[in-house]
Amino acid sequence: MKRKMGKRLQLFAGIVLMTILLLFMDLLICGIVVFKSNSVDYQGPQEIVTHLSMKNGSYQLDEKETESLLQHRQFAMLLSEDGDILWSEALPEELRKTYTLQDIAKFTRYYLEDYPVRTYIVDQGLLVIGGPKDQVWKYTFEFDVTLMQNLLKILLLLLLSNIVVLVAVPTWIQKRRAKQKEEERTEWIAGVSHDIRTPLAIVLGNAEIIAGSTKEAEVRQRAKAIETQGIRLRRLVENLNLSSKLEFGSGKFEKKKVKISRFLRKTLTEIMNQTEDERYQFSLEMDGSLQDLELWFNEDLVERAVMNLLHNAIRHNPNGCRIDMRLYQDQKDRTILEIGDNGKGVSKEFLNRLNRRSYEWESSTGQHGLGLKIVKQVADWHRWNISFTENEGGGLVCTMRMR
Amino acid sequence: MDKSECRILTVDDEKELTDIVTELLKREGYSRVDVAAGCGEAEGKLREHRYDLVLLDVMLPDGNGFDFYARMKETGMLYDAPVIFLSARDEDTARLKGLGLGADDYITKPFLPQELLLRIGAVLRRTYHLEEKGQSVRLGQTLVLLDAGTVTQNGKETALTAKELALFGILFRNRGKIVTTDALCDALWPDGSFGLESSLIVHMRHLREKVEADPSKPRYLITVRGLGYKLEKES
Repeated sequence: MKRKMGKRLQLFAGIVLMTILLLFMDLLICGIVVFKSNSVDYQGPQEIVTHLSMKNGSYQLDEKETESLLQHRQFAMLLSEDGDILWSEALPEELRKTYTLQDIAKFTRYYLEDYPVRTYIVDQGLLVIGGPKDQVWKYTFEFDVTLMQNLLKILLLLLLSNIVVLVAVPTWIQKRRAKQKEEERTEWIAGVSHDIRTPLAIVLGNAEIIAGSTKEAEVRQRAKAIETQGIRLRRLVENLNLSSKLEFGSGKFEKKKVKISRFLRKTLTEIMNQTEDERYQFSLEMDGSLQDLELWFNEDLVERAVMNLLHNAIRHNPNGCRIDMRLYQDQKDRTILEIGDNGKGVSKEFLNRLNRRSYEWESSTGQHGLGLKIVKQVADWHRWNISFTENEGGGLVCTMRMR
Repeated sequence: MDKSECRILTVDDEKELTDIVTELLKREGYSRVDVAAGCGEAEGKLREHRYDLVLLDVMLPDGNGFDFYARMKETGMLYDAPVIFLSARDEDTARLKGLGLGADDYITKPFLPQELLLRIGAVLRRTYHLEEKGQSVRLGQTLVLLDAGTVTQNGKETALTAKELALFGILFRNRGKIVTTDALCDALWPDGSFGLESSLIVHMRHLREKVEADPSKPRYLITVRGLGYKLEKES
């Protein structure tokens, strides 16, 4: 679980970093493009003014500057205070006129008859330099100061929302895929266990027939051993199937009202009838007041969990032990089921692992503990609190708070 | 009807399994056992004979056992014979419950041979009131005749009441195994009448008085504290 969280955090941080990096890259590319492209290049007003001379009562630009102007396909004119053209060079025909104040106000901001122009105030009057049509975008920007300030915040917000989208979409896709994969796996496990069941039935049947058709004690004993192991295999297959169904939530389990006393008697009797070994002593203890108590749970699941606990106690204590089941209510009227043995118990480390929330204890201990995993899964499915403790004088006790 | 007269049809595509089941049934005393490997063959057999019990696999090569059962039931070819489903998927049991097809029992593979035979016996007993003919049990000095419902102890014969006989019958069929008080009550009072457990104790006491040499220290009809009773195996 922790490892998973770490991985998730890593993924998240990675995505955030990637977003920021991408944004930077975009900005950089934009900047380079703008910078590298030919910026709008007007003939400098200073050159024109200095090279403009008065000759015979009219202005004249020297040859070099005129050529430069023409080369850039630009034109220039000098307007007097009254809007008359004092001098012009390469001026398009339609612009030859006297300019009113309105005209001037208009073209300083926008275009002069679709020609992009720049205006400069010089000693001689108003110098207008223009370029060819459809070559330049010209806009005046005007923004509210508070808007500009807000924009910064909005930008930050935008960035954040981008990150959220970038995180959420892949996570969603991943989740869906994972779910599909899990379903496939559950289906696969169900299929495999199906394929194991029939041969196992044949094995068990044959063992019985062998045991029934011989008088030799050793053969009978061996046939019995085949049966015992066959039953163990059956339990494993059932546990495996159930565990995958519980883990991936594909199984549909229903809760029903169950008389708990009856349920416990049935389950314990079943195990006692299966075991028939005097080295194991079983007991069931419950308050008389709980005889008629009914609880909501899934009988099949809880039976499996109880069975697993009992089988576990038997299997890990081959020399026999006492196995006690106890049902009681605490001060808050919560019903508690306690199943414990006085056997050799488990190591401190394994006990700690059992009490963790996750089920991942198999990898490092070498013990798969599928049976106990199901016990926890069943308790979790019912939202029951479950804990494992050491019995006084050894042995393992499992306590389930059945609400 | 006797076990040997029971005609049983086993439908499963796994030949090894049908062989085993046939062998197990024959050993148990059911001598007329037929086998079919699929729905088609099973239908043919059902046309030929009238069966007393059908063991039906759910996943068959030429169809689904549930559908086949529904069809056969509808066409009346089963003559109301009880059907026990054998299935290799435990989800099927849930489905069977959900469908409420009316099958008499279902058994998930892999089954224990004893379990299979017990369930078959139970279904047949329920359907045809098949009694253990001439069945008698010797418990020390006591002889219990099940079909007659009598107990002979020290040459003195006493009759068992219906409830006592039913109680003894259940314990006898599960000999060596504990039977919970709940299961006994359910069997004795199927309608769920009142005062069950105390009545059971009374019937048990009467049964012990007739069967046990020393009813206060029972040797055969043992109480398992908090759980139920069992009929002890012959030691």
